[in-house]
Amino acid sequence: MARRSAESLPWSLFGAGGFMVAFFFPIHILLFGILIPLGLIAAPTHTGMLALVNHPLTRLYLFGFCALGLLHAAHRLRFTLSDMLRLKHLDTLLGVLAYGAALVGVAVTIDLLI
Amino acid sequence: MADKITLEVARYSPEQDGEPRFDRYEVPLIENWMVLDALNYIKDQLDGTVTFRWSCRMGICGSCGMVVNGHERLTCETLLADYLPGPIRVEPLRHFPVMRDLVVDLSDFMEKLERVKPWIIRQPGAPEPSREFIQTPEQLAEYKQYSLCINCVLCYSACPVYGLDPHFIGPAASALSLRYNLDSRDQGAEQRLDVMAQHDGVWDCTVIGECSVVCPKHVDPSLAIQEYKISATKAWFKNLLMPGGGK
Amino acid sequence: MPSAVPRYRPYERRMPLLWWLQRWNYTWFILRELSSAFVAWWVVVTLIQIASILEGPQAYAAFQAWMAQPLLIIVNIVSFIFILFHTLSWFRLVPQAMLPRIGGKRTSAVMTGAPMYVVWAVASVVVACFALGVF
Ligand code: FES
Repeated sequence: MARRSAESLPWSLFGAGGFMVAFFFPIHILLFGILIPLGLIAAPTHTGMLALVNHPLTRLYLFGFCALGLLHAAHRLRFTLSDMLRLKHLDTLLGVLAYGAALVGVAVTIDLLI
Repeated sequence: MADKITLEVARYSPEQDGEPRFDRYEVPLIENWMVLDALNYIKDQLDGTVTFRWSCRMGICGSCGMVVNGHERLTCETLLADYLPGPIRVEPLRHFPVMRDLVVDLSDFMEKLERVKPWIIRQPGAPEPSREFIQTPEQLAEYKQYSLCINCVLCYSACPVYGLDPHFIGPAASALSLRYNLDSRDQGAEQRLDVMAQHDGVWDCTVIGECSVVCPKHVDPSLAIQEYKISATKAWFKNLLMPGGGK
Repeated sequence: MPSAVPRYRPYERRMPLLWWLQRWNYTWFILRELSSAFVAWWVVVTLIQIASILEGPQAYAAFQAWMAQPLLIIVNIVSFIFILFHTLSWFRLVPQAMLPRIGGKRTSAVMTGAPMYVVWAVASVVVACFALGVF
């Protein structure tokens, strides 16, 4: 009897990331990507942002934001590419590339926030 | 209303053809005729070599599934008149090898169905009930939806993931497997999870959801697959925290 | 199990490369999954944003000037649309997949879906208030 797969791990991270993205990403993009750059809302000052980012809870939040976002995206991209481009036979390679890139991103995030 | 309608029927002869082709047949457009009635008219009156499967003509045996104008249908409950003015293109179900004309080889599905153990499993040594098992309406409601599956495999035909990777256990087998897990008389959930949690179990599903859309019995195989992913994940983390624990 | 009978050759089919254009549902699925590329993009932007804030006022000003370029605004508007698509489809799928029961009872998708919209709204307001210095 073949073993149960370890897919549970990336899948649960994908799920957790899916919530993170669904709840928190839209407002970030709306504010920092659209409204502030268009000048519709005054940009927050550097002093204010620095104080905010320096708060430990904000750092914890930003870590979750980036790490879960990356792991979610990696898992989904792995399956999207293999489905969309018929690359099922390259699943291992796609997995290594996708999760590898995500883990590099998580390392960068940790480096930045600690 | 027109009194005739044209069917374009996929034909493939394994002895002669390298590729399927389409043959056109004109059939009378009779009120309440189904696509299957038209196929039977063709076979009886126009061309006895057209090959297809059917049995009950009432949407319960699950053998008359075909792709009608690009969508999976039970042809015994698909009205000709819904496709006016025609033509109606009738093809075999997708992904399975075509044996002849509209008949596909279901061996792969049959193997998968058996693998997921769709029957009631009792632990060895479990006390024999002294009379029939009692089930409440609530206990029945738990699995009723899944038990309506008639193995017509329209869902496999509609599933691109199965088309891309035939190792994927697929929709109907997952639904029928979960049906027994949810049965109050059953004790085989662990054994079935062993099958479903493997690499070629439920993990390839990307929740496209077309299986549940095409199901003529309103079974929701997509939900069954996600429920299996959740059970597998719970068991995986439990095993991580307490290896071999709880057994 | 290989059957003993066939001397004939069954016709084996392969998915066409553009299978996801065959049906609307398939196309929607691919678009939904492609939102992940924009998730990755936005994490990269966020990391650059954090780095610029930590580096100092000049770097922060440079980040803002970079974000104000028309091309980036367009990319971000597209990202926003895709992420919204993710959010709405997630709220539709998750109650079906993950929360079909509450207290052992099956509940409707609306019952489990509605609280997620509330959480989303509250989360958005809280983030906006912190980011814009209201708190
Ligand atoms: S002939 Fe039995 S389901 Fe159609």
